[in-house]
Amino acid sequence: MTISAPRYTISRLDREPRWKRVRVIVFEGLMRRLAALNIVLIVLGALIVGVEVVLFTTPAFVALMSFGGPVGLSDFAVPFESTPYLLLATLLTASAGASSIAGDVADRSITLYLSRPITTGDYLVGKGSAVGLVLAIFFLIPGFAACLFAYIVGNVTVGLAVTAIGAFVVSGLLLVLFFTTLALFLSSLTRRPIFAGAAIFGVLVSAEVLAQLVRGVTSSAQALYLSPIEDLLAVAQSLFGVTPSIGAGSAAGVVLGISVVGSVVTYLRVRQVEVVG
Amino acid sequence: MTTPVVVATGATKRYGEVLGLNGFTAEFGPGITGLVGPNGAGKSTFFRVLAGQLHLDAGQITILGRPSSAPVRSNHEVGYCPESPTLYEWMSAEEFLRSLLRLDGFEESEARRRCTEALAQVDLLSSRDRKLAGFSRGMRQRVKIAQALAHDPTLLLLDEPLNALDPVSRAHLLDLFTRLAESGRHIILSSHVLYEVERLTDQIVMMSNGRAIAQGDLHQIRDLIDTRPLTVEVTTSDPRALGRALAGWEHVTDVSFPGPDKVVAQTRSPDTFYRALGELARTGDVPIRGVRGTDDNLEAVFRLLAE
Repeated sequence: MTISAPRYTISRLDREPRWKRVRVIVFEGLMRRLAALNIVLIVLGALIVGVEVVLFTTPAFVALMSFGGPVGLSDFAVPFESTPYLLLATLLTASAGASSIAGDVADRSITLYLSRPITTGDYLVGKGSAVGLVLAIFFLIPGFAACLFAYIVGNVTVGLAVTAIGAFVVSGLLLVLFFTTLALFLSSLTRRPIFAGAAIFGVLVSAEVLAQLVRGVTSSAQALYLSPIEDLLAVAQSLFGVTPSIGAGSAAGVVLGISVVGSVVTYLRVRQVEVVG
Repeated sequence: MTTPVVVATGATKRYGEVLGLNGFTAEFGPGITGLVGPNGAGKSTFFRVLAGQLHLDAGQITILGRPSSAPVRSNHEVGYCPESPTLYEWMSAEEFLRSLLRLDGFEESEARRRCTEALAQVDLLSSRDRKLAGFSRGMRQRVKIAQALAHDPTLLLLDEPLNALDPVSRAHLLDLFTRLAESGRHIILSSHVLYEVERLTDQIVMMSNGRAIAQGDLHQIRDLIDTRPLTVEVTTSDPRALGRALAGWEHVTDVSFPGPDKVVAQTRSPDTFYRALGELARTGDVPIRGVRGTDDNLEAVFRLLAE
């Protein structure tokens, strides 16, 4: 008698490609993240960008405020110098991103995701895209619309409007990348979305406070590299033709470095997530 | 010779200092296999390892010939119904199933078709548009089962699937599981109630403290159980007459009256007891309104086997 080892043939059905499966996670995540609070934050952000850009590029307002000179690219950078706008961006990141992984672990819906034929990478790309899209609505669309509006109603040339749109897109994409990575990373560290939200807010604000304190003590602008917000502002200001306090290239390097390291650590962390309880 | 569907060899999973699986070794053959054990025995841990959600610290498990550490490849073939009430509360039953089927890689029209089919199988078609947040526990349980079988897997992992179900739904699902097994699916179903599993299969694996303590034909294990005393609670409108009848049975070792319409008997021979009680009910001499067998004896067997 011979005994042979068992052999199984896994049936292969025609399945949709992985990117289409990831799209399901993106769509589901987007629907959840476009909750009332986030829409309010997006609308407030859009109002700030719209009002500031349109005001600062309207000849009558410029004349009234005695800024002097013609409208230039730097006038479009006003939102990036606005504390309420950056505060709203931080709040939106916390609100839209904190629960992206922590929420799934807390309510154990990650169990259902990971029982499907998707990889940890698919899951993270889906989650990140959903959060990123919400942030992109906040960072990209209002800037684009404001530039268009300024061109239509103001004294802005086509070339200037297009350049300003380009600057909004590039700086916006960098902001989206950084804030999304930060949100996913901190969300992967806990199963309580509220902790992740507090951490997002806390990390950004404390880094900013620390940078300003060190700058105050040392009188060196280099200390501002410590704050991701200052790094992002430096890149944005540079794109809009404003001379930043710190080097834009180095600041971009810091932000991209944090984003890459954050993504890798998040991936490794989620691979280790075990749903217990 | 039948080929095992799942083979666990020395599977060990630790949660800190607690052992979820403690060198668990067992084979699960084709058809339906019951995984029986008291709460905390390690049944859910075993299922989570099979579903690729927990990683073993030692030993190995193969599912359909593949290691459990490669879940993505075999997840097409596995349907998992977790014990926890995990649902996307903000979705309707149909949206929920459809989105999971899309994650399985089915295109929209196929996902719709399969969704309808799965909801019909668990008798939830009429509630397909209702938000899951408003579902009862029993309905949630049925949705979880629907999502496990919607993509037509070869192997179904059902973790306590009959929990929280009313008797009608329970009977309906037991029939469904039988039909699925007859159509060539393999099912591993966990329960802490042996008599529940008994209706579905003869093949069981018994677990206690993260280890397999018995495996094989249910009747052999039942013989062992039947040597242990069983406590049965009988509801009747005439406890005095019932008590008199029970006290006359040789295999009944104790009779007590915990309530005005309840009699609790302890028997050394459950099979004989249930046969005799059925006869007594048929004669109509004593009105019997309900019978509830506790699984105290099962716990005793677990303890006995684990020692």
